Amino acid sequence: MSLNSISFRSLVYSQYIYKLKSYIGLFNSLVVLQLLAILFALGGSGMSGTSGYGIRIDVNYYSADLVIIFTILWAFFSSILMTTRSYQEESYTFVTNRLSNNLSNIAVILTMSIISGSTALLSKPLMKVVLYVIGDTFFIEAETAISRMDQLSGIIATILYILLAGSIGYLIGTVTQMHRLLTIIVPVVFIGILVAFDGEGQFTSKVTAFYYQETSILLFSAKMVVTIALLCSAATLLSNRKEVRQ
Amino acid sequence: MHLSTDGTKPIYVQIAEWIETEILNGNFQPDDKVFSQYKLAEMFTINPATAAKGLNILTDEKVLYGKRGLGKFVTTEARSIIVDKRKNQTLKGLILEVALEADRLDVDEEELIEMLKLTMKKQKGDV
Amino acid sequence: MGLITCEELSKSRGGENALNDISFSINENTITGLVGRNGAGKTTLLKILSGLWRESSGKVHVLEEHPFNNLFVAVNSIYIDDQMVFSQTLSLKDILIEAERFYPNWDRELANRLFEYFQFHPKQKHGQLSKGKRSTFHMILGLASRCAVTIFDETTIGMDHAVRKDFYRALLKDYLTVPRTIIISSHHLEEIEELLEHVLLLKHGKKLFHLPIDDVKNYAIGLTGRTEIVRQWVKNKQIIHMENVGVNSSYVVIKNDPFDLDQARRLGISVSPVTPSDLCIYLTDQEQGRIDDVFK
Repeated sequence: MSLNSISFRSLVYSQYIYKLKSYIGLFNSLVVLQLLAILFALGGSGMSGTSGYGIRIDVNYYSADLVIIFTILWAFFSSILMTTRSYQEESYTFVTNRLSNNLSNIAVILTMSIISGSTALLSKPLMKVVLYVIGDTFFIEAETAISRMDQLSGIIATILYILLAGSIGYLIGTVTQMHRLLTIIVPVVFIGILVAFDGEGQFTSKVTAFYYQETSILLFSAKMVVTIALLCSAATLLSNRKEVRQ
Repeated sequence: MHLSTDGTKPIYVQIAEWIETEILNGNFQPDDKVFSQYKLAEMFTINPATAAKGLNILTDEKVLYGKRGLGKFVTTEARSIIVDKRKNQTLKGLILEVALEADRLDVDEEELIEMLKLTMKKQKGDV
Repeated sequence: MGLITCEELSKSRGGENALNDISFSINENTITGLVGRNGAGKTTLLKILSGLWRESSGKVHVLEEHPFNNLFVAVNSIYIDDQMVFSQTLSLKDILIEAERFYPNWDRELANRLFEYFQFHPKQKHGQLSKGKRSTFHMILGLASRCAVTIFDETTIGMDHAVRKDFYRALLKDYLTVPRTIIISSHHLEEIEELLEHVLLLKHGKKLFHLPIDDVKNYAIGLTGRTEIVRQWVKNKQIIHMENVGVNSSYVVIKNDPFDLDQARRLGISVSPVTPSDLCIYLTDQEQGRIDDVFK
């Protein structure tokens, strides 16, 4: 019998492709969620109107924020789902070790973030088209004259936020999979600490300031990438001794 | 042939006996090549090691001889060896069984021999 | 050194010793049957050999490497059981295509032929298969992957008799074509014994024996006769099993030795061989009582 060795990189790639195919259901749920979010958003988020001289002007505010929020939540819960038992069992059916499994999972989360981030941002032009078709509307952009650079920053930031949500979900999922009780302990401890020690929201606002109020896209990206890398490494390290196919 | 798996006889013995019968029936002539352990394994759905064991018994008994790398072949004196062995072992064993059963049933020697004679006559088609 | 070796291997799970100080060695390109009652530790052992679970103590080597989390072992071995999980979005054909990318020795033609022979539909989903069909599909994965170490853990569950026979024949034929090291665990030793070269018997996580199948067949003999005569005769012999049959007869299984069996026969004791399957049942019987005692 000839023995084979396999290159680690090609294995991770094989697993990545296998998972993309087999997790297609997650992407279907994304489509549903984003369409749902667009539907809600088309209702408008605010309205004011004036009339005079025989003219009536209604000002409607529309925002695609809801789409992004839905997408972030989707990434968070999808990543948790990926750490659950049946997904893990499936991953270990074919050639795997724990590291390659984690790396391919992270690659899938990254792909999910890029795709969902792009479609979330595309929802804005889609909404415009819909509004244009259904009513007689004149558009005024909230941000006037956005530069290419700013657009790009927006895309990167959106994707990074989604990826961050995915990484947090992945770590939480990995931790809670280690013991059934951790499913309760982890959220209780997390929320409990926030409520008890961060009543005035100092910690939360510091965290928000650190990430959200960063004005330089480069610094922001660096902070996010480091955070995401830390979260993913933690998940990988924690699951490296895990016994599988119970 | 179907192998009996009730445990009365090890499979490798059954394989050896099957080849012996094939030789007695003339299906294998002296210096003919017999089936390899893999062929036997495939034919009877048995482990090739078991089949090899059957072949090795026959080699030890000089019914077969091996040519390196070519397989096992029937020896010239195979037939007589098999006949001899079956007389001395199989037949004697069967007779012991018969004697014991006769004893349990209180069948005496004369009656037993009569029964034997009758059976042999029937076999030959005289009756 | 064997292809698979364990030295004083132990594994505790849930506070119990699932495996206790097991040592054995399996040679390359042999078929080994792993038998034992439910909970004897068969699955635990096989999962450790496949690198899915970690041993608690002792040494374990597969292909000269430590199997846990080991890619070399993972790519050269496959563990098949009836619990395999596949995505609902993949069809059976998709799964075969995916499997091919993971196993370098994958035999596509064999997979497709078996797939057709057992009348699977390419577009069927794994989750829609009946229990027996699912086992059959897993068996195709196990055979077509052609891994140096192929492990079937109770894979025949749910298969009907004809499919089981087909499976054993397919296994043997493919083994003859591409010899490899195969371990089969099964509750049906009588069905697989002809395929086996060795039998490894576990009881309560301990190894009872690891022997060539022929030695297992000769391991014990059964004696039937009048209770007082049989009991007298088996004195000072190693008794494995004893039961009453009829009114005052007994059936006693003793460990085989070159005894004077003709003497026993003359005493009216009938001597019979003990099949490996029965032997394993007797050896792994519970110490305290039998099922009959429950109904007393």
